[in-house]
Amino acid sequence: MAKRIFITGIGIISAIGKNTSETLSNIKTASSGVGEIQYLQTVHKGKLPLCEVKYNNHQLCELANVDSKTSLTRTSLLGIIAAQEAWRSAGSPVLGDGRTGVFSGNTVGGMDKTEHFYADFMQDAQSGNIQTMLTHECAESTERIADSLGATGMVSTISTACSSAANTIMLGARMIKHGLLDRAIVGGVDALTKFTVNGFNVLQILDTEFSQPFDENRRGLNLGEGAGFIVLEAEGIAKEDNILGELVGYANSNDAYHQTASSPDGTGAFLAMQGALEVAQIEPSAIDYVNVHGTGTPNNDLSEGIAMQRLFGENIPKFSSTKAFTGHTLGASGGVEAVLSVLALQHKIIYPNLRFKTPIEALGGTMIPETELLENQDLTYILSNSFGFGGNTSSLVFKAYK
Amino acid sequence: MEELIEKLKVQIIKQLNLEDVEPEEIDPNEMLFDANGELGLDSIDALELIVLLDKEYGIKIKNQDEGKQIFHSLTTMAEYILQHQN
Amino acid sequence: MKKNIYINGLGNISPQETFYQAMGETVVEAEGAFLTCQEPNYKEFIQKKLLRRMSRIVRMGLATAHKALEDANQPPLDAIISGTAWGCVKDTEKFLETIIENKEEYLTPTAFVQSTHNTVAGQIALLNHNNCYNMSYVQGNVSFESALIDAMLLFYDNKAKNILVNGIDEQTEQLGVLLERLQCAKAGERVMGEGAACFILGTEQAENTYAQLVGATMLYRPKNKESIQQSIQQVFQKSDLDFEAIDVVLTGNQDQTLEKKLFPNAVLSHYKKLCGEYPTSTAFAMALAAQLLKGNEPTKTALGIEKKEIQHILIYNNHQTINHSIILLSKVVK
Repeated sequence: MAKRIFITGIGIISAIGKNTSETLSNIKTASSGVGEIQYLQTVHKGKLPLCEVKYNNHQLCELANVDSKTSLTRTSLLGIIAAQEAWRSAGSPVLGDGRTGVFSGNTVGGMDKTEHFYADFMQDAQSGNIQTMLTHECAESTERIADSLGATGMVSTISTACSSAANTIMLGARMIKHGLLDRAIVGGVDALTKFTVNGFNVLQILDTEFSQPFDENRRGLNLGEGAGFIVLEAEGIAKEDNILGELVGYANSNDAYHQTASSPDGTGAFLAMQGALEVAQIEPSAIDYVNVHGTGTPNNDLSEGIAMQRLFGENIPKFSSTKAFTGHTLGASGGVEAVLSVLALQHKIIYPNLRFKTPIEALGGTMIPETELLENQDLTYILSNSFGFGGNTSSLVFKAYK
Repeated sequence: MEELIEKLKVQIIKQLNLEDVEPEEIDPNEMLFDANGELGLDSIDALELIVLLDKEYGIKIKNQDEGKQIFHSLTTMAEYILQHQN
Repeated sequence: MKKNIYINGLGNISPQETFYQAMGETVVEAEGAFLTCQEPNYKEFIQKKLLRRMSRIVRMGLATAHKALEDANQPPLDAIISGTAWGCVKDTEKFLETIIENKEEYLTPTAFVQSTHNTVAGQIALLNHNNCYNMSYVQGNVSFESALIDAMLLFYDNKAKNILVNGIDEQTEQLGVLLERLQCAKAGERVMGEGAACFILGTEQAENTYAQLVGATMLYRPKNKESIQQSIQQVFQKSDLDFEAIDVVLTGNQDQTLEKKLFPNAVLSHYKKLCGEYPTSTAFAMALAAQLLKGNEPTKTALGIEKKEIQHILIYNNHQTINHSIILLSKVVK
């Protein structure tokens, strides 16, 4: 049952672009998506920087090709845009044959609309547009994505905080390997909401400046929003010309240390990375680049760094956090970073870890991420990490298709 | 000072949802954040206490590290409030 | 690749008396538009120090996990997989309300942390000091089925010997108001419910084994009734069963035309009269099915089933004909 899993399509929308081409352009010019809040209505405007997708909902409707009078949430719109790009780049395969999976990672569902409804609801329990609550659940955006693609088969949503999308990619691969599906559209989406911004703010893990992942003086993360989806197809189904890369390794583990903080010895992170390498049947030395989870919080970067040292010993591969570009897109992050990993393999590049200055002392001062965009890289294996609340840790291994 | 400590006991019980804990049971000098202690508070509780101090006393604590010192015990909390309350 | 999967332990909190025994002697009926769970004394299972921060749904999740693990004789777990559609409602409400009332000031971190959908699975791992695979599915009426299928794939991959799977959803007063406004709940016509059902699945049959989990599947927008029939057929194929072999169909559907047509020898029972309508109600149904296959009489009575010999039970539910779920259980030969 050694069915290979190929990636035949990718789609992305984030603070650094509405599609893969804009994303790459902005990366090449080191243009981060972080900035003053423009779209979200919140008291934190002017105080906290965010990585917003630079379109309001009306504009997103145009990009998603839907009527602006739609009841679709921002979450659904972002998801549809990225999933459609992924599907088109896979050659627009027919998805209505009952053999397609659509699995999406998401944390707050349609909260962008719900929080407006709730303001009315709290004044008077009979007020507000009740239909809004129909778009509240996480599953809603996944189903709207599936419907926009005409996909039938299996649809599901995973919500494990920041590892959600990575987990859907793993699920899709396993479903295909067991012959339950021929292909799967996998990844994740999350929109910025007052709920999340305030939640993270009250946990004191947000940076009031532009974040500096893996830096000694890092202060926290910048929240972002967006969607990243990839199309996985089984060996035999995938058309040679469409193959962008291969998914060869994946694993999930649990830190079991604390509800929100990562363990000091990076247990969960280590087990996830090690597990992914085992599935890929490669040694740590085979990894050419690690797209780290690297949120920029004191806790994550230290824990992840320790885990990497446990795994790679002294031979840490080239690594960087792309969250300095996109922000932390929560449920979407595993998907956004999967797209970036495939793009890296395709274009033979390694991304810069923006705004890095000083290596983390507690890691021996030796863990230095790439700070410039590297081109013409000979890349075979990329490891991508996604670690979330509840101790949920996941890692994926992507391989170049040559 | 004693009055403040008694008030704090009630407020903490409410803020941290310490079910079945009576104010009399909390020793003002007991370490609040001792994992093996009676209350066994953790870092999320520390954040709750930061909210409490802001909401009830108008005192803003910048980060958890600063909080660690202040929240050593009820007594240290009360002392800090008396020093910094507007 | 194929493996036998057994239900070796279960814990069930529901509107019926299903926690301390399989099923109460008297069936509880809905009085208005809602059925509410009968809850155990949580202090029996969770330390006071830890309990205080936990919302109701987390308590339900932990208590049923504790019960199921005890029932299965504390096997080491290789995975913890949760299915919940509504998630941690109370904490989500609390945080949202505070944001609105206090205009984004003086917010409570606990409520936010507890509002994430994977809180229950995360807490089970934390309390059991378990670093194993941990997943939470939030796909409406197929949240529980997603969790089951994930578990089955892990077993087939030889990545697990024992897996904890649960289906859990909680009601709150506010949610109730919203459901009534949406006309999902209406006294006397449509009863909404809640529940937490937890299972320990294993590859080895044990002393206490309830039943065999033969198969599970979910369908999104199947083209027609024939597609549904085909999917059920595929679930049967793995175990040489056929439509005629099914003794009981636990259905969640008001319209039972398809069930009546496909399963001529089966007794049909509408399990939702015992638990109300809620997204992970099929987990409750699976608990009932497991009890039936173990020969529990009060469960039989509560469901209104008179058939003497029950070997194979199929659970079928669909939501607005969009999301369909199928679970198949069989009696074990001891």
